[in-house]
Amino acid sequence: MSKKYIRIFPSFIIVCLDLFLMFSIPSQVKIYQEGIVNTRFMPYLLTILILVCGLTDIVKGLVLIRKEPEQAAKEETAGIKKSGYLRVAAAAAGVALWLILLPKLGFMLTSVLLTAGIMLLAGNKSWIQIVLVSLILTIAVYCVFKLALNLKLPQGLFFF
Amino acid sequence: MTENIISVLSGMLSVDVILCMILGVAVGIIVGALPGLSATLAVALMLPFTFGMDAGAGILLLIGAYCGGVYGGSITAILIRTPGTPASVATVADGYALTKQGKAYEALTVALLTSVIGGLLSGLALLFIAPVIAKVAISFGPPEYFALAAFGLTIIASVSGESLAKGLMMAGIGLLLTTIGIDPYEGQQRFIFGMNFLYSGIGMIPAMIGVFAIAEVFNQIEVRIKSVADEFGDIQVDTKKKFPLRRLKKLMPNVIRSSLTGIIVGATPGTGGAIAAFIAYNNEKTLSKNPDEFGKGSFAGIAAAETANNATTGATLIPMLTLGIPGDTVTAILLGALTIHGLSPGPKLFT
Repeated sequence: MSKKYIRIFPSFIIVCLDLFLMFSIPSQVKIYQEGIVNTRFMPYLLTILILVCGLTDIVKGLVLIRKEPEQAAKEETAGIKKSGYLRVAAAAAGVALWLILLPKLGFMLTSVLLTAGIMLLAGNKSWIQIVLVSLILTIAVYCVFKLALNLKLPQGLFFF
Repeated sequence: MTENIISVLSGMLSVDVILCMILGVAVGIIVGALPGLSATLAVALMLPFTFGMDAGAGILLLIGAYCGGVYGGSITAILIRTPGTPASVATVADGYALTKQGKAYEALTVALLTSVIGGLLSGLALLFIAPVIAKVAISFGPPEYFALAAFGLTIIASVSGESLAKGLMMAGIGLLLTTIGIDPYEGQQRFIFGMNFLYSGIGMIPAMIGVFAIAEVFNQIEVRIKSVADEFGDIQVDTKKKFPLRRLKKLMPNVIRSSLTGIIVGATPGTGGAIAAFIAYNNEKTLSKNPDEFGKGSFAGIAAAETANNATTGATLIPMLTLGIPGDTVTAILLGALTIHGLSPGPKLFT
């Protein structure tokens, strides 16, 4: 994608997700009775609002690109680095993986790995800090939830 | 009524009760100042510790955590441009601009003083005006609630920055997220996608942590900062630069107006500190002779936002105590706490 189109990229993604939700309303939102105002009314109203606003933003962005293409690209890509996006994507993938592995491997193991991974991605190079912070933080959270608040956390493989 | 007030005040003067209040406020400020952790979490964390306490001391500890949590959010909003709680979002622009100008201590002082005034006035409103406001609130029907919600959404226009379309789009996404779960009127499921945990919808705390804390973590990962100092430089809080109290006098009309805004908004169920802060901020910006200063380091902006969000603390208890309707998530937890301690919030509590 050309750098000058980065401005409209977030709105484009939101419009795509919005269209997916809009078309999934008939299957995902059950109704008790037919009519204009029912369970589907607000979801339709909101998805239409998001669609209209998203398209408005995209059109505004395209007009700006057409009028001043170089200025638009310069403004929108200022401070943006590809490696930064990749790190954010890796962190998001890490959180998703944590959610999947949490019930199977348990809270302690997965949380230590997630915290260490996030610290690495955030640019921390001190291994002592990474190991200590991830262990202490996870144990502290475990103690607060398990011992003080008496909440059940996934035990997984190692019973903690 | 006077006899009751004197009796309660004398009961509050015991060492145990005062210690409970100090502990509650301290925990509230610490938790509130941590970005992503709100006053709701502070109250929720303290709740189990009150089970073994006397009802009065336990409730005061929780209310201390609530008030401290709402104020604590302003500290990080001013110093590191990261609101500790959603209620302090309106403080960020002016607070951080003042920090960059080397006026962090003055900004923190204004936030503290106006928060205290807002909180005290809200407490007085709870004490004296509760029955009147409760009467008004009880007459609210669906049209009034709809008008209020629509009014709250119009605030988006003033906080959207350059793109109103983006602001409305985000508001739409926020509202769409609230539709997930079981429809409260027809009992039908919405956007469950086969995942059972979505039946109860998306909770306020996970949503707030997602919007504020996770977004901040991702932002830090993207720019790869090592610490707050790397991102914001060496934050200097020069305690010698005191905020003269005579300047507070000039802010008093603003503080009174913002307190009233906070009390009215707080007493209306379904709203909260963030809405009150934005409404008050917008009001003061409109009334100011120098509206351009707002967002660039205005003490009036901090005073408006902080007074209003703290003025909601006592006011949110009005519908909760008089009608049994929790105004926000914190009062929902407090409602549960009162029930645990043997009190039944509602009109009968006052009879």
